Amino acid sequence: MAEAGPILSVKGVSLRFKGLVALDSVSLDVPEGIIFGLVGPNGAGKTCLLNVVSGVLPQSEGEVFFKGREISGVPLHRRVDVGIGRTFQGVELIAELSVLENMLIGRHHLMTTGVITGGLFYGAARKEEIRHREAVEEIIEFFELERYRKSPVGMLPFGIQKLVGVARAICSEPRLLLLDEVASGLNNQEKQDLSRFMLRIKHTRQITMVWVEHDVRMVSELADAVMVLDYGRVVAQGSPDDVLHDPAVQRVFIGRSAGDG
Amino acid sequence: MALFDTPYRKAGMALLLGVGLILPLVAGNQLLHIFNLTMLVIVGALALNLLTGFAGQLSLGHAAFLGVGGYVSHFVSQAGIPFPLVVLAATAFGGALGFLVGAPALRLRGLYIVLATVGFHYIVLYLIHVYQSSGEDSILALTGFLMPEADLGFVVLDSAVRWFYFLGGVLILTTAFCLNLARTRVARAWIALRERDITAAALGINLAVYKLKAFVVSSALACMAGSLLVYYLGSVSAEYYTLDLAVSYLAMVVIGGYGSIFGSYLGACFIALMPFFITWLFEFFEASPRTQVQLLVPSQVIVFGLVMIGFLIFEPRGLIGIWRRIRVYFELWPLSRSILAVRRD
Repeated sequence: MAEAGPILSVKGVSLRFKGLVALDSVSLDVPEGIIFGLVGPNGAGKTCLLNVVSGVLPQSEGEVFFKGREISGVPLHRRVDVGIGRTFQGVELIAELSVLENMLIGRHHLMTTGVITGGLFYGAARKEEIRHREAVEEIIEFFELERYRKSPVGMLPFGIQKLVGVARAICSEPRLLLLDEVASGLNNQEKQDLSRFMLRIKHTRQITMVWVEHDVRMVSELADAVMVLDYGRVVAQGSPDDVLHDPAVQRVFIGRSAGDG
Repeated sequence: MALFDTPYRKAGMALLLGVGLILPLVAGNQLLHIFNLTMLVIVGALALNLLTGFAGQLSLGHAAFLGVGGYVSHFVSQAGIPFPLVVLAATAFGGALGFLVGAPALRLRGLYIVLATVGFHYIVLYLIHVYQSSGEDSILALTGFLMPEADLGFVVLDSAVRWFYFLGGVLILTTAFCLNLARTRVARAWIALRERDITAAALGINLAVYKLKAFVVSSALACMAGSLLVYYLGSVSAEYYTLDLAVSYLAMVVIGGYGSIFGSYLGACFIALMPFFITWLFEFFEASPRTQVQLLVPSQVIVFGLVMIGFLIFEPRGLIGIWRRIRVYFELWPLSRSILAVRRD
């Protein structure tokens, strides 16, 4: 996998809101096919980095390369075409729609039905709807969501909603999946399920993941590489073991006074 | 997802169709007239529901779109063009107008769109008045124009019964179109942009394009409804297209239920039939003509206002929300406690 160069490459990205520096010349390379963990305290700029990569926020400086192509100019709604899918911290599903419909929205950019063809629902539009419904069914099966298929998402337990959020992102068939705190708010059982699904996404679907998470232990168990951010700066980067035992990283998490002894 | 997936639904639809076919044979002209008007109103409500209910773009320009449909029809029909083509022309013009109105509205959100559509309403109203008073006849400038008869080629729609069947067909086709739309990609994109616009964009939905599409489709359908309405009424007059009318269409979408096709039916029937119902109440209680004159219109307005407020406070999901709860109650019966228990989500 390593022969092709990184799937995502961030070079010197800074993000400033007036005086506030959210990201301070952050650089990273994510090789294809790995789970890349992004950890750090609250307000470290983790989600900001995801927002820059997924196109929600334009960076103030620096460049973002996806498969070697600079994508800073690609508007938000074209990033899924490029191959970047994401989940959101606040789930961001449409509560009144069913799991199925939410996931079909994830396939929006793969479909072409317009107003007229959709309204007539005949021929190509019908076939397309059926074809994508089948694809969604496959992903529903993948995430073991069969029993919730037709339930409005708003009625489902939070843990299931989080899974549906990931499933919707998978529906857009990304090559790079940005996961924003998918494990937060889940109980242990749900976290174990989620870990299982993430490993299956990595192995059976070969999707690269950049994963922002607060649960450092979970990250150290699942991630192939980890980066620690603090106040918008990269504190450490490398294999989970090395990074999490780095004294600088421990200072970030345990607190300066404790770390300094 | 099939439209009528269960045998019960199929049977229900067949029954409804049967009733519809037999109705003109038993109902009097007065009743048929009410039904015809209601069907026209439902088509108009469906049009607004696509824009406001599905795509979440609040619009008070609906009366203006209906008016444009009516006046374009009058203008085109002057050239002696047959009725079906006039309706098509009005629909196409409506689509183009929706594009023009939608384009500047792309940069606006929420209340600003409402204000922009109010502006649009008054511009259209002004143009309608200019058009109406452009002729030499000063009487026509006040009363409006007569429309030619609706001639389908093989039959002239010159009776309430004929109109009933024709409008029934139009309503079924429009409903089928909207239902199909509601279960496919475009409506899903509209709902996504209504509920969570940033997320929708991140999922690949081009917000500008889909807002525009909503304006175009809604406006085209509204102009079609407006065209049929003036043919049905036999005349077109500027005073019909008030801001009140736009508000009452918005009320149909809200009372019926946001983004629900069946909800539009409920809302439209509710608003369209309420004045008839109140009139009937006055007659039922044998109110004196004097009381009728004094209280009929105010009481309609007051009831309308109270109903609006009541729905906004107690049932934001509209009539369709109540309907769904009743359905869940009977599905769960006897396990469900109260039919009116508010479901929290």
